[in-house]
Amino acid sequence: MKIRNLLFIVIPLLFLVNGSISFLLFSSSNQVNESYAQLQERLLVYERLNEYIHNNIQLADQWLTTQSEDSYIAMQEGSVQINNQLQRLMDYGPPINGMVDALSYQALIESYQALEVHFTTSSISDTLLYSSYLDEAERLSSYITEDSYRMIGLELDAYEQRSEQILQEVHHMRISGMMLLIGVTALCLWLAYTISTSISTPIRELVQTAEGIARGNLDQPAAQYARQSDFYRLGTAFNDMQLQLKQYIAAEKETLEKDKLLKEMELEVLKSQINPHFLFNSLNVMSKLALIEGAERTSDLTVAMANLLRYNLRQLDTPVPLRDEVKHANDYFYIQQARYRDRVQFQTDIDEDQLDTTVPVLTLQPLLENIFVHGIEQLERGAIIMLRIHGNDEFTWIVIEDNGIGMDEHTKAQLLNYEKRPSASAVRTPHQSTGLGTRNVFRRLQLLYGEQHEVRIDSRIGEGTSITLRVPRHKEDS
Amino acid sequence: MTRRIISIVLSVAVLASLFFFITSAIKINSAVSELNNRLTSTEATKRIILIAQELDTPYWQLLKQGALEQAEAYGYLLQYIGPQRHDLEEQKRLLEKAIAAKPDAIITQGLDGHEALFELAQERGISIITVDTDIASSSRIAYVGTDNRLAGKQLAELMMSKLNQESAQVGVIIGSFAHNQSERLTALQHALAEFPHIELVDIRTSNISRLKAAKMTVDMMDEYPHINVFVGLSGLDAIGIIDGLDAADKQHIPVFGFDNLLNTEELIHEGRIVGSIVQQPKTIGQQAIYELHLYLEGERYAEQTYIPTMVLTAEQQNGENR
Repeated sequence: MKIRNLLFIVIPLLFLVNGSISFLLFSSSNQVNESYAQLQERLLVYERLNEYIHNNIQLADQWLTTQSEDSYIAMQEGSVQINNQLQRLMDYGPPINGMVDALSYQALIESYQALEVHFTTSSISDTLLYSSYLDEAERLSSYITEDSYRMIGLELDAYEQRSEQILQEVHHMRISGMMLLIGVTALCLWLAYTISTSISTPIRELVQTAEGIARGNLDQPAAQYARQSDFYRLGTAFNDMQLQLKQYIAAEKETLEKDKLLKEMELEVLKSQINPHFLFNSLNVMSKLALIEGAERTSDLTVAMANLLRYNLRQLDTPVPLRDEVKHANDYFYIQQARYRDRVQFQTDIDEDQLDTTVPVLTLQPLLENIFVHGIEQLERGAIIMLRIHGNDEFTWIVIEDNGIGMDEHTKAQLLNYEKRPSASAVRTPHQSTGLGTRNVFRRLQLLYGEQHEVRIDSRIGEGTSITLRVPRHKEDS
Repeated sequence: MTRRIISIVLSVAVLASLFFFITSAIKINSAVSELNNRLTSTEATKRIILIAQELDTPYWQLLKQGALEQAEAYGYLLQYIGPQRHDLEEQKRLLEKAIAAKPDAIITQGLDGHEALFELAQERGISIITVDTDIASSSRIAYVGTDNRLAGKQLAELMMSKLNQESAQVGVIIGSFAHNQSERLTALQHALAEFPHIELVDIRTSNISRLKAAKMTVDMMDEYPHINVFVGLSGLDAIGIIDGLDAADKQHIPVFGFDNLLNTEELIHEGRIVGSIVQQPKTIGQQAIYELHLYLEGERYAEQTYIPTMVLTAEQQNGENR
């Protein structure tokens, strides 16, 4: 769960629980107090009724003897009070165990009230009648006193029956409330602990990962977290970051290697580039001289030689159309033919449409060179070198075949293992010195085209070799 | 895993205590509201006051019980009052008080000297039903009580059958000379008149007190040592007589008693009390309310109802037990 949601739910919930505990405690104790207060109130009403009635009888007696207005007024006030108290009592209702007693009690008071009317209405001149009323009132008053004590007793009984239960429940409530308080506190502490660890643990782990990355260790997977957690995205971001960094570093390494390879080739070219103008001028002079002297073949050879040199001195990292490569290959072959004469034949099977595909400069020449040096050197006659170019909209295939001595599996594997740079010791072994050129061609294709290039070598000892290159159909202008 | 367990345990503990807490709160609430929620007095229901001769005697308690059951059946409210000790003055005062409390009806003993009060009650619209003892000439509406004549006769018959033909000198203890008990005595005397071999030697009152009954027994034994049978005519007399005989060390004297109170049955079983004439106060109480109900409803009611008594002897006990 997200930390924010957790906090949003848990904190108000705890407040709610605490609040309701306080509220219930408060309201319960309030109720108990209130019921006790009501009981007291009722008892007081009985007591007051009693008192007022006694008072009123005394006042009536005073009124009879002294005839003072004060006592008359006080008596009337007393009557009102008695009525009020009786009304209150009736509002309270009878106790559960003394319904009929309460009714009798009320009836007694009503009897008294009926009698009391006579105190204020009948003339006090008739002393005898008046005092007989007084006697009657005294008698009723004594009944009322008796019954009010009886009622108080009943009220207390009724209260006691319930109050014992209430007190017990109050006790239970106090215990369970205490337990609840302890429980909630423990739960709070536990939640605080859980939440804080749920934050601090992932942070610690991620910090470790970050420190590892800072030290350059990119191969440590960040801890995984539940999908709903806030740390899920952070962890995933860490992993993505490491992956990206690794890819970036790999790409950077490749670029560096490519540059280095180019530098090496350039260096090799530079070796043969010493004062090219002088070389070209000399070759020109030689060509013209040969023509003048009637040695046409020598002249052509010299021109081809010059072309070859010129082509070799081009910028190595600029791609050229396949057409130029084929022309250069022809030039190269022409020169070689001067040496091998009829021993070797150069055949081409070229789809002209594919000739505008661009390839790195000097792709074909090293392969031909390899064939001349290793493939057909020892053939007395009938050596054939075949160049085929065909393809479709996506790729161009360049196939160079010879019917030379072929190569063994080891050599083939060496050639095809161009993705790794050969170790310095491997380079030194004389047998593979020229293979280096071939491998460089393959390597350059790989660096340039990556997955899109393909190199295949089919070879059988004594029967010949076929090298197939596949390059994407890049055009110069597109 | 332990984390989850701790969480669950804590939650359960909190929920459980919350449950108990709330239950307590609800219980308190309901108890308090029950205390405060008082019935409003219903003036409409009939209110009856039953005045006992003595508040806590078994006889009157049973009578009250019967009356209460019947009253509840009709929806009447019954108030039971009476003097703590047998006290005629207090009983009268309580009657006056009851009249002042203006109930719909009063059920009480019809005692001599209460006629004027019955009159007063009638004036105030209070119906009086007498139980146990009657004043036929008063303004009471109906009487429900023991058939004392039958009781006296039954007692005489019981004595006849138990004493055979031996001559008997009988000492009698009577609760009081109130109408009902006098009637019993008269009936007994009348029935025994035919049998000359049974003679009533002396008659004394116990004022329905066990202690006094015992004292009277001892006195009588002192005075008439030839007494060889005792009869108690009100509830506790027989038990008092046994106490007295124990004190006088005359346990062999047979005793005849009235009612089935306290350890009467046990004493019958032991053979100390030969037999007892048992009244049915509960039926009396029920019947009193029943007659009152008829009267209040304006129906025909019986002015005098006699509830028959039963004879309780050892043979009967065995019969019941079997």
